[in-house]
Amino acid sequence: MIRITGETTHQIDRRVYGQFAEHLGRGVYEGIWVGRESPIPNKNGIRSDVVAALRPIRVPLVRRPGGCFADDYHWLGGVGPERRPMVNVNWGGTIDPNEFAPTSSSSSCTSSTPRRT
Amino acid sequence: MNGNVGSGTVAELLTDGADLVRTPTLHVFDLYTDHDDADAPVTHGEPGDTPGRIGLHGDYTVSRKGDGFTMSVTNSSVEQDVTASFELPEAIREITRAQYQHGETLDAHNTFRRPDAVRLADFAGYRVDGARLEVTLPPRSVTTLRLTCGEAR
Repeated sequence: MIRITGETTHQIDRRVYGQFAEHLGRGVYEGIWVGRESPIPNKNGIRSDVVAALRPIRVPLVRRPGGCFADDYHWLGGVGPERRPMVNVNWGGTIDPNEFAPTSSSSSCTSSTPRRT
Repeated sequence: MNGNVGSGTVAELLTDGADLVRTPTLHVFDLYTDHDDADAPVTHGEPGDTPGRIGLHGDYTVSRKGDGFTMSVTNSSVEQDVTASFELPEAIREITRAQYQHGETLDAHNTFRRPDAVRLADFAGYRVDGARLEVTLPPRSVTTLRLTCGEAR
C-alpha cells in the first residue's frame, strides 16, 4: 500500500522534462533544420512535422548544441548573413554549415512551446 | 522520480527525408506531461520500501494539481506483472486519464515500416474502491493514471 497524503513538499519543475539536441547525425540538419527552400514543409527552415510531433509533450527547454559538439562550437559562427561553416570533429568529421543557429533555434522554441519561462 | 532525477539521451523522433517516426521515448514524455509544475505529495509506503519504488521492478511518480492527482508507474520487469495499491487522501471521484505504453517484446521499437509498433493505448488494468486505486501493470510498460478526488468543487 502506498498512501498519498494531502501534504505536499515541493513543486516538480517542468524543466526536469527538458530535451537535448546535439549536432550528431541527422539530429539537427535534416532532423530539425531543412532550410527555407526545402520541399519538406517548414517554417523559417524548421520542419513543421517535427514541431507538430513535439507540441504534445510541451518541451520546456532544449539543451543545444551538445554534448561533445559544444566543446568546439561558438555561437558567433552561426549569426549574421555570412555563416562560418565548421568541421564537426566529434561526430564524423562532417561539415556543419552553421545554418541552424542561435536565432533559428530560438524561433523554434517560440513556435513549439506554449509557455516560456 | 521521487528524490532522484533520471536523465536519458534517447531520440524522441527519427527522420528520413520527409518521413518522421515517433519513438517510444516521445510517448513516455507525453505520459509525464501531467507532472509539469505540479506539487509532489508526501507518500508513505510499507516499512522497508524504498521511496518511489514498488518492489524490484516498479517505480512511481505522483503529483497533485488542486483536486487532481497523477500517478505514473513503470514496470521494467522482463516478464512479471507489478501490482500496486494507492490510497488517496479522499474518495476517488473520476478517472480522467488512463493510458499506457507497452512493449510486446523486450526490444520492441518503431521503424519507418512500423511507425506505430509501440504507441500509447488506453489502460484498463485498474480498479477503484473508494479512496483506493489498485493497478496491475504488465511487464515492459509505462502507465499514467490521472484522477480527481473528493466532492466536486
